[in-house]
Amino acid sequence: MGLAAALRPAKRVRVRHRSIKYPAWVPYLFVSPAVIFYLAIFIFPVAWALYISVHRFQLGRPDNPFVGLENYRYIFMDDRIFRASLVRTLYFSFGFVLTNSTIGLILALLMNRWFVGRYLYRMAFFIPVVTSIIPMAIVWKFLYNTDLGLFNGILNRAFGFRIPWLSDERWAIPSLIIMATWRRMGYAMMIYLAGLQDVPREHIEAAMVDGANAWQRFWHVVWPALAPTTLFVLVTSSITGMLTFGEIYVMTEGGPGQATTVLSYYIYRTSFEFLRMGRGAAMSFVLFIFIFILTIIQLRYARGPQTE
Amino acid sequence: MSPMLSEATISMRAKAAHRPRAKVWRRLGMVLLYLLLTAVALFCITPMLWMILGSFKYDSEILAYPPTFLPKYWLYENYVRATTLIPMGRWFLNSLILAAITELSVLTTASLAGYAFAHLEFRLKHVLFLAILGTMMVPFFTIMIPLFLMVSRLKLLNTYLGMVLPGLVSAYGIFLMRQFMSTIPSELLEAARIDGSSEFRIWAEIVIPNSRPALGTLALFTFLSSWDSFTWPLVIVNQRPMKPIALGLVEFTGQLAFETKHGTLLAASSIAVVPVLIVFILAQEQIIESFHLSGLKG
Repeated sequence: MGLAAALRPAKRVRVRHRSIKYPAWVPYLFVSPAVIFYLAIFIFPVAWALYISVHRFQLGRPDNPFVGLENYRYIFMDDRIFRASLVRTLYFSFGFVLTNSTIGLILALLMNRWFVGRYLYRMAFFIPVVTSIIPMAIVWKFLYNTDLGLFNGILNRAFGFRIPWLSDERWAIPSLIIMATWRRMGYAMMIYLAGLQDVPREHIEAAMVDGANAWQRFWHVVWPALAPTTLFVLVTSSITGMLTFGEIYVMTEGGPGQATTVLSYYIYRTSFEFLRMGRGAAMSFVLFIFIFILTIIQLRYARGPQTE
Repeated sequence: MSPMLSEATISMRAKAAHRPRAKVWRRLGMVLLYLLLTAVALFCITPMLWMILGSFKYDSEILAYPPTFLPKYWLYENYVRATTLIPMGRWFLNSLILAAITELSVLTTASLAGYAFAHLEFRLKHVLFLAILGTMMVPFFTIMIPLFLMVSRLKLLNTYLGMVLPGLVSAYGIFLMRQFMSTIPSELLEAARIDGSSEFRIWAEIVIPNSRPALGTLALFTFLSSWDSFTWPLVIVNQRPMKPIALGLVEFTGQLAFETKHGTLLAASSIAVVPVLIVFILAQEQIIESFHLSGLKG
């Protein structure tokens, strides 16, 4: 042993980082499928999209001259539909976030204690969350039908009037908001339920001892304690709202007129129906920036519900 | 589910609860609670019920006014037509194949990477982990155009491989597996290492079998999102036989809706939704847990 061991070159062991016996390249092997994937499917395409966005790029036309920020200038200055789509995206997202989080919170407060049948109710609330978007959008399109749909059927029979859910500009986005909330409120409820678990019980008890009623307890103890959860719900709902696409494609196709042409839908139309991919890419970066800002807000200010 | 209260509070509440007026208020409160929750629960379920019941109705009855609830006559033809007039069978199969490929890929890559991030040390560990989480920030619409160009140049339009491409690796999956695998005690792994086992063997023979709950949760979540996939196939698939369910169904709204019988459409939608519903009812806890964890990446 002795001489041979002494003559063997000393192994470089980075004791500081790992005290165990695998070569340094092994971990990289484990992460390589994921890393290669993300390089190919995310990093490279994002860079390519940026590249496309600074060229005039119409699919099918052979010339793609570099045009600098022209696409961006165009969509903000000359494209009325784009500007309107920004407004509509904000309108839809805001409405969705508000409704979704409010209803989610109310449901969570109601469901926060055990009672007979709670299990069934939780199942019922969560069923819309697991359904497939497209078939349910088709069903809702039926339900929203102005003349023959179920909702107007009930409304007409009970109250004598109909609502032009998807056929009127002013009702189109609210109708979409209702449908989107229907789909997602079980999820919001669940997040709030988790957040409610973390409200310090001592504070609630102290408030009760002080004689606070239920509303006061909520407003002064529970609500502030829910702040991180609320922020989380607000931000994730906003992101979901901005990325909504399938429902709109099925239920309204951006209409009536342009009433429900939100940013995501307009990006799709511009890129794959009008084939103006340079502009579409520019728009998609605007969307990216929105989402990016929202995510940064969430990372900086939210601790999120604690995982137990 | 209710918070554990202190002795003082419990006794205070118990005393208060015996007062007759308090009892009445409480009964009223419970009734109100049930009413409200039932109303919301009905709202949640009604579209599904309407779809399933409607799939058994004659077309004229579906859109009849006043609306009916249970079908007057139970009709099974809609389902027959759903699988013959519309290639629902083929579309269903497509969705299954896509789901299977995606599952395999996501579970493998997530457990490989998750293990590395949980238990292995390497220089770029933090950077890579943050970068992978960061990809969750990129909206699909931003990579949609370049991916389309890529896929069409690689001649992968209208192919299964093309359709699964953006979904092969899931950052959420990596995160989930890392979280779970870090709970596996490292002494266990150390012991195996001392015995001379390679990391891959450790991964395959110790870590994976012990990660079944997380793998199950990830599998369910991946299945649900794969079944839903619509936007990307919309972009790269235009041959009817290759469409997954969601995309296929859309073909029959819009212009073709006038020719398609409504009942058939509802039957087709039911075929798309009901299997997932059954899976949900059976695996409820795990599915809800998977959504829970997807949100708590805080």
